Amino acid sequence: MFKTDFKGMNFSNESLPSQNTLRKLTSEEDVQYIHERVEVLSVFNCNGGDQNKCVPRKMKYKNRVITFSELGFRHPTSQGNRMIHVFDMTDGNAEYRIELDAESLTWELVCIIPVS
Amino acid sequence: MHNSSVITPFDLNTAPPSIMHIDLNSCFATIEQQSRPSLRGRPVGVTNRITPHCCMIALSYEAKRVGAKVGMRHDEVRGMVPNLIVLETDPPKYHHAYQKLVEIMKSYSPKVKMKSIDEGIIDFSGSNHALNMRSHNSTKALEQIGYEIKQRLKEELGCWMKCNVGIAPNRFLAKLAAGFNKPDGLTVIDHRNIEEIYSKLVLQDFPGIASRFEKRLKEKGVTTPLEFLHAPYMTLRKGVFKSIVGEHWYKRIRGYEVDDVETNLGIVGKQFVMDNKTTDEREIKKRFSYLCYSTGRKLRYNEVAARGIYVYLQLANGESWFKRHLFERPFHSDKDVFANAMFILDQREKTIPITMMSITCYHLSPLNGVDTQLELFKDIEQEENLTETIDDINDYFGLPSISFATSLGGHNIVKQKIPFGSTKYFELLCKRA
Repeated sequence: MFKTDFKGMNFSNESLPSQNTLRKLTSEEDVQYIHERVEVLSVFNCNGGDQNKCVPRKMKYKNRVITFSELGFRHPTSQGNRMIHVFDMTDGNAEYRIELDAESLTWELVCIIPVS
Repeated sequence: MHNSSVITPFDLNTAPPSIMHIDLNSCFATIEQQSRPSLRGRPVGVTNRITPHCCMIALSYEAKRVGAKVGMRHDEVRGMVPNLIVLETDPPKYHHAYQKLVEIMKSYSPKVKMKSIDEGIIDFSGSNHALNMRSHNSTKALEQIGYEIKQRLKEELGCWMKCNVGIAPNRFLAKLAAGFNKPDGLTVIDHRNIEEIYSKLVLQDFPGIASRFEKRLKEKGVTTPLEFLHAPYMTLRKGVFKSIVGEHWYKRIRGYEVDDVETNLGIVGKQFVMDNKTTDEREIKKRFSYLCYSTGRKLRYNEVAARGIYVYLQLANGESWFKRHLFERPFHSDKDVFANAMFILDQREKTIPITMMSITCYHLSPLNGVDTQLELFKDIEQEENLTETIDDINDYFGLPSISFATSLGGHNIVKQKIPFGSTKYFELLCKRA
């Protein structure tokens, strides 16, 4: 059972240790695939436009808190009959793809791409 | 204010504009820049599969500014833009942008027709009352709507999204207008400024006029768009185009509608450029059977059955091989498509490696009209039920949960790609495993 507890978290925008080891953006090697469940703090806006209905704000990954500075794009997709919402996020240091499984209500960090 | 009774030279259509053409600027590249803020303001290229010789299907304006063009090869573009960032296509993302664009467009008129993934038209003919509610001048009202659509696009999809809007009395001029002032422009063409607009263009700037038509026009002394407009009807009908096409062009360039036509589905198929040039029958079959599976899905998605199959191969020795066959009975199941296509493929010379393979089904008819006459050695109803069940399972669990044993692993090699032009398979394309 995943439980989000943001109490006592360090809300600094620390860079990820693997960031420096990542390479150019032009090949698959640029992308660090993670595919791990993560804790995400989101804001749901009742009056937001399509892109602002659900905006992830912070993510806890490997005991670090990443504070997102911008939602690039949100789009739905499906895995079989399951609805998945894909969020392309950035914290200014790296870009993150996170996915919300609308059936299990779990978040997954799919990959990290460094900002060069 | 427009007055339809105004007499203009060259029989120009003086009706007020009623067609709006919307064109998302550098669609896929712009969506990628929207998704990843670090790419904004940088040259981005989008391709279906990253290889040195792959074709760029979208380029950002930063890449276009230095002369790179869509359709160029990866290595060509990189020669011009060394800091180019190349990304693979992300169909579900584009599908969402496409759906939002359609949603916005349909909120203004039910008469919306998408021309491709990134462009479409709104037909406002017959909406005079609604337009007059906005402004006493219908052209001004359309301009307002155009600017509103640009704003809504930013609100719904993101601040980096831009589109060009063209407003004109017919589809041809509206598309032409949408090509001006890129990116983020809005242009109106009507009988009052058409000559001024044409005077700034060359013949190949017209959508539909490429090198061959240009050559034919020049042979008859028509060297510029203005001369095209001034050319007599008979010169175009009998001299240049020698058919009804000449009459269509005579009307089209004057602002009369000739392109509001529906076309029937003629062929269904799929092609694959081999990742591995081989004569290994098992490897070829793995890819070919997946092509057949995809083609079968497309047939059923369009609710049609085919009778003909055309197989085309490009070979490593530079030659090509093709063969077609018209079968006695219509077919639409994966099994039949595969069996019939293999019947043709097996007739090829098997010692030369294949570099590209394609399968095309033709002679299409509606699925519900297919003759399901009983066969002695084949239970057709059982086969149809099986096909339907497999499709349901694949829809539920994702593609391809069930497919031919021969195609195992094929779906990882023959990935679904974004097609140029048509949007008819977008839903099918976006079902992911």
